Amino acid sequence: MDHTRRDDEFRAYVQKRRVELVRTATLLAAGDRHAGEDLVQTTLTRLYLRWPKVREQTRDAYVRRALVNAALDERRRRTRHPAVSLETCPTAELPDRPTHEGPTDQLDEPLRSALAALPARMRAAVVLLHWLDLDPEAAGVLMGCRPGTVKSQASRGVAKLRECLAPHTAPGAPLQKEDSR
Amino acid sequence: MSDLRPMFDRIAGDANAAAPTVLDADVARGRHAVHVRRTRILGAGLGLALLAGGVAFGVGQSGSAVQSTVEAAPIVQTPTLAFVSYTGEQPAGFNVAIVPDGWSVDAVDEYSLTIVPPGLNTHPQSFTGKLLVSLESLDATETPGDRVDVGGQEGFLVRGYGGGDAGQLRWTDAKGNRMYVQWPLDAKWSDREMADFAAGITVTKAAKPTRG
Repeated sequence: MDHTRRDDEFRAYVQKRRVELVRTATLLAAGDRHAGEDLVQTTLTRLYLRWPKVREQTRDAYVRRALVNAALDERRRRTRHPAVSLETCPTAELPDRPTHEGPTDQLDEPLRSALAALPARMRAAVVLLHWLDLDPEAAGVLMGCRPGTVKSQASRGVAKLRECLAPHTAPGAPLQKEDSR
Repeated sequence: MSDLRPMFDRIAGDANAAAPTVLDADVARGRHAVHVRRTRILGAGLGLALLAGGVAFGVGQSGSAVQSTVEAAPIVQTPTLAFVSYTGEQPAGFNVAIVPDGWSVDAVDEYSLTIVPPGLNTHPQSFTGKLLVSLESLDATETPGDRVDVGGQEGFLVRGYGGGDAGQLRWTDAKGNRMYVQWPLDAKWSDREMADFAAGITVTKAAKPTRG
């Protein structure tokens, strides 16, 4: 495949998918937009390298898997978050610099902190099931583990998020229970 | 937990379309990666050709293919960057004895130290292409590796783990600190060079482990 054709096809694909990729990656990186962008750049570079071999029908699946792999890749996520015990909820602190753009809410920073405190695999399970709306089987394929493991990781992750966000919500407006998935 | 979705939606960031310059950069990174890969393949091919030439030459000289292969081996050794003594100000959390020649300290905090080659100017929290020193993450899972000696301590070194383009070295230093070093495979440093670099690292009390 010549470079021009590859470039054109790749560019068209990225134009359609990039925004949602960055948004998903940002969540996988606990709300850190810069880290999310870094994950997407890594993912897209891998896609470009494999472009002639990745069929159009499986392209989205390949990209999702590459993105999750990048997010779970320890060498990228280390040092991003200070050590926080899962037994306690982190205290949300004001960031040194803006980490996002757009509308904000009083729960945004606590949510970022709570997401950051989750182990990466647990965070990925939560994002795949509760943001991308994947079923546990599909999420398990992306994470390289069994559906039951994804479900339990997501369940524990959501429970932890609920616990950490509860003090920040208004009285009488508790966070909803997790659905039965 | 349906109420998570609107919160996720906010912190996921804006949904504006990517600018043309961003797409250009994606294409440029991809093309560069292809170029690097082809260069590596070409280099490997050249190395094999040299090795084959050395073997053929040696067979003619001595009539022993085994002996000739041994003699030819140095020809295909990968060139490496030399490490030199570090003379700059020592970072707070991690002191280093040597650094790659020409590389410089990029970013440092109590969680990590990064050292970068000339011209690399990426986000401080991006570790691609950088030499990274940190304490082992509290969430780290056991990974395979080849045993190496790190200043008298047992270390485990792995290259390209999980299909990545980095090398990783883990060891526990004499004071019991669980240590981690990561480097780009592009740099082509040998196991011994990485073990020597690792052995020159001293952890200060300011260093903290990471999680997540």
